[in-house]
Amino acid sequence: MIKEHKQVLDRENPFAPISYGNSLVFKTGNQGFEQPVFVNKVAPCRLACPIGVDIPRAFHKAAGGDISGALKVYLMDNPLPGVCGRVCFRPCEKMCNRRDLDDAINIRSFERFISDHGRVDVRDLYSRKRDGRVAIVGSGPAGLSAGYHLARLGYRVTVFEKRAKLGGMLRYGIPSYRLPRDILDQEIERVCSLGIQTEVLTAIGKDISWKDLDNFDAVFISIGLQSGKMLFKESGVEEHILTGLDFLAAPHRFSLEDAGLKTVIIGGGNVAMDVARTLLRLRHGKGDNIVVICPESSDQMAALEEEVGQALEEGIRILNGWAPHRLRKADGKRSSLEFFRAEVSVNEVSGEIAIAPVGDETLSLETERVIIAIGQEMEIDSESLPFSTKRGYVVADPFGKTDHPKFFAGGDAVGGRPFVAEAIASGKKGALAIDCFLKGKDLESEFEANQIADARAFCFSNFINKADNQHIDLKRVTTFDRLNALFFSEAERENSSCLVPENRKDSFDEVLLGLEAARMEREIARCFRCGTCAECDNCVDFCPDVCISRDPKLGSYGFDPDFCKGCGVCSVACPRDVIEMEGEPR
Amino acid sequence: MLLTGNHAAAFGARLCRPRVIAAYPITPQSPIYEKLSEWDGKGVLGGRMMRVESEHSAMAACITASLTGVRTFTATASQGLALMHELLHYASGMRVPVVMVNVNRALAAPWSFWSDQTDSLSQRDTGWLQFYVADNQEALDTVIQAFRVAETIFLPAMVVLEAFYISHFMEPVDVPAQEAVDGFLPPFRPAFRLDPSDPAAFCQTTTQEQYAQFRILRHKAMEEGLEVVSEVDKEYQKHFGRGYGLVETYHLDDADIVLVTAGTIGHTARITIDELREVGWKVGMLRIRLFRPFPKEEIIRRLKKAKKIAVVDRNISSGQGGIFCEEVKSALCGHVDGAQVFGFVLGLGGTNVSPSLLRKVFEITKTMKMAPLRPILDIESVEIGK
Repeated sequence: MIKEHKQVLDRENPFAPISYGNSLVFKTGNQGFEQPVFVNKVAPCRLACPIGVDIPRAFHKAAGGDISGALKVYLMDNPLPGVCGRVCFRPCEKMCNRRDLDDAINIRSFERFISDHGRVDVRDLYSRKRDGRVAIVGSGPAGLSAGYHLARLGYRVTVFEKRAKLGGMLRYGIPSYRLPRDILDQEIERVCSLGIQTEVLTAIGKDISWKDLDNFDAVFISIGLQSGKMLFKESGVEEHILTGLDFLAAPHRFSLEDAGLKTVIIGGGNVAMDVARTLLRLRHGKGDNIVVICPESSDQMAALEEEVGQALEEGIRILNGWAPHRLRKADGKRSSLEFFRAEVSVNEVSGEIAIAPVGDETLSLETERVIIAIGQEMEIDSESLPFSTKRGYVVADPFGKTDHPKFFAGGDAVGGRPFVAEAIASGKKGALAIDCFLKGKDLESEFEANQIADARAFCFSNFINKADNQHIDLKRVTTFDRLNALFFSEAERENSSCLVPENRKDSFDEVLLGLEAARMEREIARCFRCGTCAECDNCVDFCPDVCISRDPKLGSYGFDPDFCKGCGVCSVACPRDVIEMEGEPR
Repeated sequence: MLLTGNHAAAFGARLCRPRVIAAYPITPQSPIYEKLSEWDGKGVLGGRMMRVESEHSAMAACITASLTGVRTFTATASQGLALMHELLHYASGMRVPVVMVNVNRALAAPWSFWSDQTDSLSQRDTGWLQFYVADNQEALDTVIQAFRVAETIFLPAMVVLEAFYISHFMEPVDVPAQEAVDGFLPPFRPAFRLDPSDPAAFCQTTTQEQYAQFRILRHKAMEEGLEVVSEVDKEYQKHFGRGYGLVETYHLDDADIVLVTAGTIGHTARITIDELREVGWKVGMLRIRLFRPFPKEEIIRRLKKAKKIAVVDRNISSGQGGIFCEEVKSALCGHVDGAQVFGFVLGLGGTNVSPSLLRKVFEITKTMKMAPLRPILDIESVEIGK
C-alpha cells in the first residue's frame, strides 16, 4: 500500500501559494491623485433641440422598458410630444452623434412612439400653488407651451383664443394627414388638465379689449401671423384669389365649389405643399389641374425636403424658377397668370428671399383659381396695442420681453423660424421670463444658470429643482470623439414608412406611419445615450481595484477612495463619457 | 491491442478519466490529440476537450482547470513544450497535478521532426516529474501511474516518449479494463481548489522569505516523490502485473561494464548485451526511467560495483555533454570512488542507434583506460585500442 501522504492544506502555512486572507490592508488609493467623477453631460441632440428635451435620458428610460418614464422626460420640457413626434423639423437628428458611426437615430419616431404608448398624468410631474394670474393670448404651440409651463409653476392661467377651438396653426394650418386631430385634441387636453382656464371665440381687441387684461399680473402674446400675404390685389379678378391660410383653415368649405378648377398655387414653403396636397385629397387624388409654382429652385424651397418629396410622390407638379408677374382676366371664368424666369438668393440669417429676373423668358398659365402661399403677416387690430410692433412683428428680446413690462411675447408673432418646436421653445422661455418678472428674479442670470451649454434652451427640471438635477453638468457636451465607440457596433436605422401614394392621396389618413414596437425597440437599442449613464456596469467590471460600486439609492456609481489609485480605466471603459478623472495629489 | 505509442498514451489518459483536456496539435504528438478528439466526438471521452490557440494557452487552461479541482491532461512536443515553458513553472509553483505526455522531438533550428530528448531535458528545472519510457506498454502504464503520483505529492508530471521510435511504432499493448484502473486510481481529491464560497487568492506576490519557503517545499515534495513513485509502481504491479521501478536493469549484477541510458536505446542495448555475453563479456545495462526526481541512491547502489560506465545520451547540453551522463556523474561523485564514466552522445535528431553502434560503445569503453573529460560524439572515427 502507498503510505499516507499529507492531503490537506494548512491554511496558516500552505504548501501552495494560496492566500485565504485579503488585500484590504493595502490601501492602493494612497498611490493615486486623480479620482473619477461621475457626471452626465449634454448630448448634441439635446443641444440642437430648441425646446432642450433630455433626449438620451428618455431613451435610457425606454431602454429599460419604461415608456411612460420616457414620456415624462419629454413632458418636463415639451408639452406637445405627440405633435412634435409627427411634424417636427428634426434638428436633433441632424446633430445625432450616431451619424459618425452609421446613421442618425430616428428620434422623431421615438417621440411619437412614447407619446402614443406612454401614460403620464402631468399633474403629477410638478405643480405647486403660487399667487399670480397670467393671460395667454392665442392658443397655438407657443401659447399652449407658455400656459403649460406657467401652470406647472403654480400660476393661474387663462388662455384666450379667437377661434372656436384651441391649437392655432396646429389645427388651422397643419392638415390632418400630417397631424391627426384626435392626437392634437389629446395633447391640448393634457395641457388643460393642469387647470388652465380657456376662453374661446374671444378675440382681444374685438370681443374684449387689451385694457381688460389689466386684471392679469402678466400677459403672454402668442397671436401668431394670422393673415396670408396677398398678391394681385388690383387685378380685377380678386374672386379667383385666396390665401393658403384661408384655404387651410377650412378646406372642406372649398370642396363643394371647387369641382376640379384649374388651380395654381404660388409659393415654395410648407404652406404651399399643405395646400396642394389638401386640394389633391379633396379632389380624391386627381391632381391634373393642380400646379405649384415658385421662384426658388428645388434646393432653395423653404418647405421641408420630406414634405416636397411626399408631394411629388403624390403627383403634385412643382415648377421652380418662375416669379409671378401679373394676373389678367381671360375669357369666361378664366384668368391668365404670367411669370418671368427668376433667380432667388436666400438670406442665410433671416431666411428672406430676393428675386431677380433672368433673361426675358416668360410663362403664362390659364387658371380658374390662384392660391397664394408666400408668407404670413400679423393681423393688426384697429385698437392701439400696449406694446410695440415693427415690420409686422411684436418687438421682443430673446426671452420674449416686450417694451411693456407686463407683456411678453413668443411664437410666430415675434419672428424667427416658423417651426412648431421653435414656437414651443419660445413659450417655455416666456414662462421663465414671466416667472422671473413675477418673483422679481434676474432673468438673465436665472437663464444662464439653467442654460443647456451655449444653446438657446434651458433645462426646466434644473430650473425647478437643482438638487434633483445634480447628476448632470449642463455646460459640458458629449461629442462623438468623447465616446468610446469600441462598445458600439453598426446597426441599420429603422426608418418610418409612409402610406403608399395610391392609398393616401384621396384620404386624410395620417401619411407617416409610426414604428411598430419591435422596430422601435431596435431603434432604442441603437441610441448611444451620449453623456448619459446607461448603468452598463463597465466601470465596475473594468476597475482593477474592484473599488467601484453602484449606489442603488442614487442609481449612480461611487468609488472607494481607499482603493481607487486613479488609473482612469473606468473613464476609458465608460462608453458614454460619463466618467472623467479629476483631482489633486492627495 | 496493437497500438502506436501515441495511442497507447491516449488510452492511458482516457482510462484515468480526466475531466479537462486542453491541448494543441503538433507533430509527432498529434495522433494523441486526434484520438482523444475522436473519442470526444463520439461522446465516450468522459471529459471535455478544450480547443486552445497555443500550447501556452493549453497549459494555462490545464492549470486553471486543475485549480477548480478536476483531473487534467495534455500532450505536446518540442516547440510546443518550449512555448509552454513559462507555464510549466506556474504549474509546479501552484502545485497542480497536471499530467502531460511529451513526445521527444528535436528542437529547431534547424527544423526537424525526429527524436531527440533535449526538448524535455531543457525543462529539467521547471519542477515537473519526468518519466522516460522505453516502449508502448510502458507509455500507457506510466500515464496512469503519473496521475497517482502527481495527485499524491501535488506536482505536475511529464511522461516522455521518443518521436516515431515509440510514438508511431505499433506494438501489442495490454489495455487494462476501466474498472481495474478505477480500482487503482481514486477520483482526484484536491487539497485545495478555487471555490467561490471560500474565496482565496492564488499566486499572490510574496516576500523573499515566503518565496524561499515555497521553493523548499516544492523541492521536498519532489524528494518525497522518489518514494511515492516506487510505492505507486509496486501497487501498480499488484493490480496489473507490470512494474518498472525507478530504473530498469539488465544483466547488471555481475557486469564490469554498464551501459547507462534512457528511453528506447535501453531496448536496443539488450540485443548488444546478449551478443557480447555470448562471447564472454561481462556487460550490463541500467535504464534510467525517472529523471526528476533523480533517483540518486538507486543509481549509486546499482553502479557501485561497475568497473566502467558508458552513458549513452540522445541529447546534448552544448558546452557540457550528454545530460544523463552529467547527472550520473554528479550522483556518483563522492559516493563511488574513481568511477570511470564514459559519455557518448548518439542518436541526435533521431539518427539510428543500432546494436552494432552500441557494440562499439562497449568496445571503446573496454579498451580506453581513462574516461575522457568530454563526451565522445563521433563514435565512427574512434580507433579501438588507442
